[in-house]
Amino acid sequence: MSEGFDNDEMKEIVQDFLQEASEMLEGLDNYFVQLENNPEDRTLLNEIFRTAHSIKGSAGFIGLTRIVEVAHHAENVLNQLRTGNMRAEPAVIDIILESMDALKVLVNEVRTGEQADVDIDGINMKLDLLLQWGEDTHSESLGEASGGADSEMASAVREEKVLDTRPMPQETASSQETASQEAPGDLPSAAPPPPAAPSSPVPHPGPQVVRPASSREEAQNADAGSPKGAEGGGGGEADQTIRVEISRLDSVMNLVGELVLGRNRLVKLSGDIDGVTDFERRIKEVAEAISQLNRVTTDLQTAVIKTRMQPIKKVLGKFPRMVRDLSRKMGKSLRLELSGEETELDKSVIEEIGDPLVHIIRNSIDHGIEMPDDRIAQGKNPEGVVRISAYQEGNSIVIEISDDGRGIDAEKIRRKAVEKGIITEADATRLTDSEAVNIIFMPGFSTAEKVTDVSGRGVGMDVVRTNINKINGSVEIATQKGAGSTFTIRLPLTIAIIQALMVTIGPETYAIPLASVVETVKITEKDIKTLSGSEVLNLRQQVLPLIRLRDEFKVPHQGDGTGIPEGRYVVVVQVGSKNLGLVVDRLPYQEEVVIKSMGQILSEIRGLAGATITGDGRVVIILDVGEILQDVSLRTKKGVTPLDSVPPERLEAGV
Amino acid sequence: METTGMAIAPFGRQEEATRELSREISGVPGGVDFGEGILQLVSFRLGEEEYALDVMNVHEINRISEVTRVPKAPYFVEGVMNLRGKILPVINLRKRFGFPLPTTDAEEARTIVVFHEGLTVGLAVDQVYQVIRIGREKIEKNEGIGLGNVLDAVMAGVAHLGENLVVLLDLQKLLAAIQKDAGRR
Repeated sequence: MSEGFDNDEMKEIVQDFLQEASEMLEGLDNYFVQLENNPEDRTLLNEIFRTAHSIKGSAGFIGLTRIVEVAHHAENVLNQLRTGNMRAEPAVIDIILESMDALKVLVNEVRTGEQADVDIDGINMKLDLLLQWGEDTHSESLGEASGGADSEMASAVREEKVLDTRPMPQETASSQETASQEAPGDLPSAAPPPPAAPSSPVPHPGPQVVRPASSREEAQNADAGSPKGAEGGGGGEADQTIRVEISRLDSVMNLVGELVLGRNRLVKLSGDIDGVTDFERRIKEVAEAISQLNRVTTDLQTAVIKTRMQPIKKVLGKFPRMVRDLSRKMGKSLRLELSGEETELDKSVIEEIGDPLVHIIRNSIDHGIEMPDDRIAQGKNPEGVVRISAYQEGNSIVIEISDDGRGIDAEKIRRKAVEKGIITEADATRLTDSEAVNIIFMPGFSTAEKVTDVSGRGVGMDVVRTNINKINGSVEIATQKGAGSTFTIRLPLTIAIIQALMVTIGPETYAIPLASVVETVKITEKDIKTLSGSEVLNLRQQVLPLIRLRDEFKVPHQGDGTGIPEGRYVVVVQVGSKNLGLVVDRLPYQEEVVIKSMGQILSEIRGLAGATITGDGRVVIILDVGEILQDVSLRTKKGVTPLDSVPPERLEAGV
Repeated sequence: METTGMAIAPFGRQEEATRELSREISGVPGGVDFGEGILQLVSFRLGEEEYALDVMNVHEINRISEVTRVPKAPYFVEGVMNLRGKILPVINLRKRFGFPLPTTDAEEARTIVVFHEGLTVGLAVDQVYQVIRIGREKIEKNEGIGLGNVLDAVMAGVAHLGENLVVLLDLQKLLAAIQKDAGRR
């Protein structure tokens, strides 16, 4: 088929296919999960069939024989489901999902150009056996036919997802269908069966095992012809692209237009100075032009940031399938509820947030949700619920993951933490329950009694927190014993540009991300008290631990040291449930800063998030408040000060 | 930020260098190739001694601009500088090699911006002399002549320029050692 195209055209077609196929396969995952709950849903079945057929069609058009083959066998089974000759029982869905996974691997194979290790024959065989079984019987147990699927478990498990079904792009689907009709000429083995042929002969395992041998050669030829170099040799990361709505690009374009107008105005104003008599008026005009530029730049900044924003659905969309698989595996009955999927986040945040979310959800399901029998015994609905909701709150995005499981036993956490030497006996008694629960985010803590496949591999929640902190976010947990837990993740809207509070210490200036600043307080030296050797501030009857950035950063004293001002400021920062006061000299201004890396050599320094360049070209270091807090509390854990004794009520103050 | 000229300086040392043109300069990035042909080196002063780097690794040479101190950085990191919007660490080679710190001559001080394998850093030196063209046969490959561990570990050889000896640094080793020390903390 590909002879008619030159190399670039082919590349483009393959690229389009890859994108579409990945999206369709992900969509199919979710459709199947829905189907399991509504096996009779004709609309859904038709949608599934159409999508699968589209994938097969376009793969055939490009000549990707291996994909066509698997898709074809899956389609046969889907057809049986659609015509009502077979029911979408969990064991059936298991096999279909397995074939979808194989398709994903095969699509990825096209992307990377490397032959993936997929047992196509095995999967086709399973699908065919399924088909055969479906003809033989309509309602008997699936035991043997599905190759070991536990039908008892299958029927016990119910799962539902609340996800709006995104209609597949109708236009592309139909155009591919036409394309696929041309395909059979090249691929006699993959002729799509007429959709209305429920009684079409079942391919028997015998001839089918022979077939792939020849078609694999075809596949390799096709692979060699098309996708090589399509990705610039990289394994996917090299050529990251983003889909942007035209309307957003238009607004960027408009603003750039205004920017040019503003520049022209200034150029004109600065150009013909000769003969100007009314300078006052001229200055006013210049000021106007500058204020217009100011407005346009701000808008342009927002507009550009918007082009990087993507709905969080991109991440959440994978979870219904994951939860479904987990529920099958663990024999727990689960329901996943999603809300706020349209909430938008920066692309880089979207990429980083996936792993932590997977970890938290697995953790909730593994440790939180009880087995159905236990739940019934406690008077709960046997079906456990995991809710993920995302919403915007001021300048940050909040993602909440809650379950209605057994909750976290604060006492057990205290005991474990002391056992593992994370905190001392004395600390343990001092911690409030909500503080104790948050110990699960400390390095080296995992309460799993036994190591399971799902969670509890010792690299638990501290990695989650580290990853979230890396993108300037924070994570907290609230729990009620017997009623469930809620993880709350707060993320910045964008990670490249942040609002920062500039502070000076002697001759040096530092930037503190405003997101972690609760308030600032003016104090004098005598307001600083010591409590068991550490400096604290009595702030509205609450004890606030202090650190002097001058000492922490070993800022050199200016000249004779008389330059130290009498008045001081304390910047109260908060990360998670911990508060700390940073003692600085002055607070000159706030500014929007672009975070830049200081390079590999300096990336290891604790407490520094990076640096930024200010308007006058100077480099200003940006603090990593989370790390400073962690280090300080680690120090005090070993030392004397009861840092954790700051009551949580304080946390609300001034936010 | 003014960039000083990289043209070959009209000092007398050039007769030491041999015939051919820069085409022959083989760029073994970072390391130093001791084969035939000519090597172009940027030579600079640290204290009373002369050092050199392969010109292939030198991005540009700047007057010392404003450097922002980085708290808790390794002792040999002078700070970070703004190179046209990019932030670079500045390594003080005197501190790195354990020399006493200079008392005068800030006027001549320069930052040599070098890059190797994606890593760009500024090296603060006392003075930049010139670009030397030298035949490879005039370089004595010598990796440890007892100048102290820190220096021995990063030197590639010694170039004989008439009366003068120029210590040729191996940038690859220098940056690797710096990175290792920075990561250890």
